[in-house]
Amino acid sequence: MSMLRRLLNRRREQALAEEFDEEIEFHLQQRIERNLRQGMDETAARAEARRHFGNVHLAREDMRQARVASWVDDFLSDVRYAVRVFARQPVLTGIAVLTLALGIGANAAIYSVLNAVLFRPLPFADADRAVLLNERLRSGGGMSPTIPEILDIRARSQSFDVVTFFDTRDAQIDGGSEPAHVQTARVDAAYLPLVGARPALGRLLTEADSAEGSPRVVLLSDGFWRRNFGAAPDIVGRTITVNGASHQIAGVLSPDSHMFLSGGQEMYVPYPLVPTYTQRTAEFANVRRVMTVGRLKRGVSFEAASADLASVAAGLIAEHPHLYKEFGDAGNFVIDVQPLREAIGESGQRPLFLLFGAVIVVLLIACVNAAQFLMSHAIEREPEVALRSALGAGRARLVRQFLSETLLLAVSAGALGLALALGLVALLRSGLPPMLMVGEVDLDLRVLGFVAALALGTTLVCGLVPSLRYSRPQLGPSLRLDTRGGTTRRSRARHVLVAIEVALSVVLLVQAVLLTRSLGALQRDQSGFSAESVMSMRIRGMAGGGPALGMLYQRYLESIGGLADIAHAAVSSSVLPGRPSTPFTLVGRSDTVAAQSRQSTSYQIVSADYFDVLGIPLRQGRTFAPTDTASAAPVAIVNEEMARLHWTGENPIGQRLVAGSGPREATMTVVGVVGNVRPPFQTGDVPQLYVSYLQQAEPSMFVLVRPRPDRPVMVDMIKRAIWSVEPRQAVFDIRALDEMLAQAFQGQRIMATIIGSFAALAFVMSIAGIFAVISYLTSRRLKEIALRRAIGAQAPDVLRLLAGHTLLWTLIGLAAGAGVATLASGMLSATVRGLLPLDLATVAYTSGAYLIVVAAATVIPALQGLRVDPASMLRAE
Amino acid sequence: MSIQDKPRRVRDNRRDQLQGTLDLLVLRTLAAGGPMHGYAITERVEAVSRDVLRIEAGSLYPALHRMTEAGWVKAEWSTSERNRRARYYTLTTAGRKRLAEEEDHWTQLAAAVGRVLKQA
Repeated sequence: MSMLRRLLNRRREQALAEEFDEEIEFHLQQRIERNLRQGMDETAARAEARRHFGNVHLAREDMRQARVASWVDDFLSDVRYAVRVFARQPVLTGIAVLTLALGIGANAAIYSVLNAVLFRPLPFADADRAVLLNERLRSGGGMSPTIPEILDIRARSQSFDVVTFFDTRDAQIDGGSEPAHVQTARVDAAYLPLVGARPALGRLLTEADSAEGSPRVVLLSDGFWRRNFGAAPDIVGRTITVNGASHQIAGVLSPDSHMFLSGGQEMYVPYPLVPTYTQRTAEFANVRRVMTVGRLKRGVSFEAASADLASVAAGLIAEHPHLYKEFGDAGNFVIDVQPLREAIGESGQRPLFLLFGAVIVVLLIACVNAAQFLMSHAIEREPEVALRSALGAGRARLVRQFLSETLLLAVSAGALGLALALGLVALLRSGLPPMLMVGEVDLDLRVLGFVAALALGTTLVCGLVPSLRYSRPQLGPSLRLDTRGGTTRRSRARHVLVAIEVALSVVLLVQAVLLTRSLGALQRDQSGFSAESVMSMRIRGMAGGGPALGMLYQRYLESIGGLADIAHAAVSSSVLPGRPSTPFTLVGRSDTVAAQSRQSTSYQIVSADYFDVLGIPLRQGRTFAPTDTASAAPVAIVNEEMARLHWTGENPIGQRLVAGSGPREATMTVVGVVGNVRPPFQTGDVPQLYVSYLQQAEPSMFVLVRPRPDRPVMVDMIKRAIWSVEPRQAVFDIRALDEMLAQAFQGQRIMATIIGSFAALAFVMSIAGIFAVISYLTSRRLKEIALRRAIGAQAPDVLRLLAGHTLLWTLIGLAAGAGVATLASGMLSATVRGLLPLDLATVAYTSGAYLIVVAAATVIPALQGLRVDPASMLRAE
Repeated sequence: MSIQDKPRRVRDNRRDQLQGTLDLLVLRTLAAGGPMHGYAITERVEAVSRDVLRIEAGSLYPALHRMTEAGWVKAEWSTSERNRRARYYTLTTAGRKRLAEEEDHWTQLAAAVGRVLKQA
């Protein structure tokens, strides 16, 4: 008999019962009619028919057995019973279900991020064979292959169907409402097909597009086509001006074409395979900025591909020893393959695993709570279990009963957790930093499966142990309905659980406090400048470079400076000084060359007003003057730290130094000293060097503008001021400087927020759990307390009895938690930049505060135990 | 809640000894007489066996339903001779096969019992 049919029959139970009654009725009627025909009277005929039929009820029951799977019935009655049992302890049940749901929901939410970043497969054909190719030195350091190397790998390796590449760069386009800055990828013809991109209009790129002298073409992304061209259906064949040159639009990509590695690109142009890139002797041959992607041939393993690439590498070294000698011995230079999926997830992996660890801790606490609950539950029904046992219920039947209850718990907690996860996912989607993801953070089937497994797994783990344990009751004591005996023995296990809960919570709390303190410290450490109300925007100078570029910026600044509401405007190669990475030497010093070779400074190209815009004080000398042009003697401005390090007791003004690498190297004279600036993540003062934008050309610049007090920054007016000089100049990345700086700590802030929320959750859950346990244990011992008080125990004695043990175990948990927290913050500091070292004070204050709350959660229920009137309690006995 | 175990196991044992016979009788009757309702089956068995074999209706209907679930017989609501709704049972192909097996089994059993009676 098919199980399915039997299950289905259950739903037809009512109808079937009616049919059966009808059938019996028919049978009885036939018999009665026969009896009447044989001359019996009505009453006798009926009686005979019934007798002849046999037991109608038994027949009906037998038929039901034949049709309905009885375990379904048993299960449903188990569940109904479980609902009733749970309803008897609504608070405890509520806490258990809610904590489990919170644990499951938080896990599902974090897992949905992990899923998008690390697990969800790439959505194109043969994605499992897609790899990223990189070069690496065994002595340390990785790099991208050069174009000539890629072409050699493509020609010589045996392992790949496709080897292709792309890079990304900014582009400026004309036409439309204003000159736009567009993120662009230069792609090799094979790249787009490899990642499954399809043209919605027109075509993809071909090898011919990359050839020298071929007409310039460009592909548009779906979004860009819609936004900038109003989704014009006749777009293919039109021309747009990209970086000053006319390009024909060859196609528009379909919206589902995902460019995983290149992020937000909106235009695709063919990578020019011209001798300047492809020849080893050419100008750009050593440029290592392309991403190289390949697809393994079917059946080729990663190991085989690596071996193949090793022989390609050996061949390259043999043929061009002069190019590779800087990489050391032959075996030091390696070409690697990495699965593309793995490469995409790499950036998010460490922080996500940390968050996952944190959320697992939350789940464990939920589990401990649920286990505590189920243990109370099991103890509570020991008499009932014993009774059933005595009446002959098998142990298997009892375990099944417990399992049904656990399952009920799992399903309710899972469903509630899922609802929570939906909300959390929406929050995470808006709050997460851009990470390389496949698809959206979403609750897909994989996440749902995870939730189901989690709900079942956790409840089974925390439910099975108590049910196995308590399904074998000691009949004697339990049946006497006397619960005093069992309490002490079992409270040991419960106190261990409390200690675990405490330890887990402390681990999270300490990390949360540490993260928050570190974030505060990072923000406080920024100093020496004022970002408030400063507006930052980027431009990319279009002139050929050199002095002309400086002149162009000068005209922009004059035009912006003419606006009434602008107090100061400046251009700068970076928003704030960077890390000191530019070596410099002082001219006319007796210091040894070796000593000087170790010194370095930040190096920033700025216009004179930069210091006014950011409120950096001038301490000595002057800032840059309009006369500090390319034809005048190079000048420099240093910060106080530089002056203190090198010219203590001397006048820094007029000192000379050599700084700048490559073509930028120049001998400069110091004309001014300004205050020290500490940008984000810099804890102490370091040497800082500023040079004039009229003397050093840089195409990519920030325009920084400070409005007059109480005046808004009119971005449109600034743009127009720039366009009045150069109408084709795109102005982009327009942001308030303080927002931009806050972004620097985004990762830290997110970590602090999420771990902080988890810690808060852990805190509430553990306190609720401890409170519930102590309340329960106290309520079990009311009789004992009454007895003790009746024979003279004082309030403090009783309190010690009820709370002392818990507090002792709490202390044990705190100690263990502090130990684990130290290890955990070690892992955290490897991932979170700028994390303060874990100090004793943080641990002590956090555990101290936690201990106070635990003490309250322990003592309050214990005090309730004291309020019991011994006389009435004992009389009730 | 099922504190008391249901007493069905005990009854099942008693009936199991008869069940094979009951199935055989029902299948055989249906094979011979075409579609009929439960009452007709009891009547016919009693008539053919000259009142030696009597089928208790309380056993017959559960058996019929069991055999329906097993696919040996097919049940349909239809109208009886006197225009009343009744449930008619028909033998299926699977039922015919089952009948053949049951008959073999019975013959062997009867022969075996006969041998024991003669020789013992």
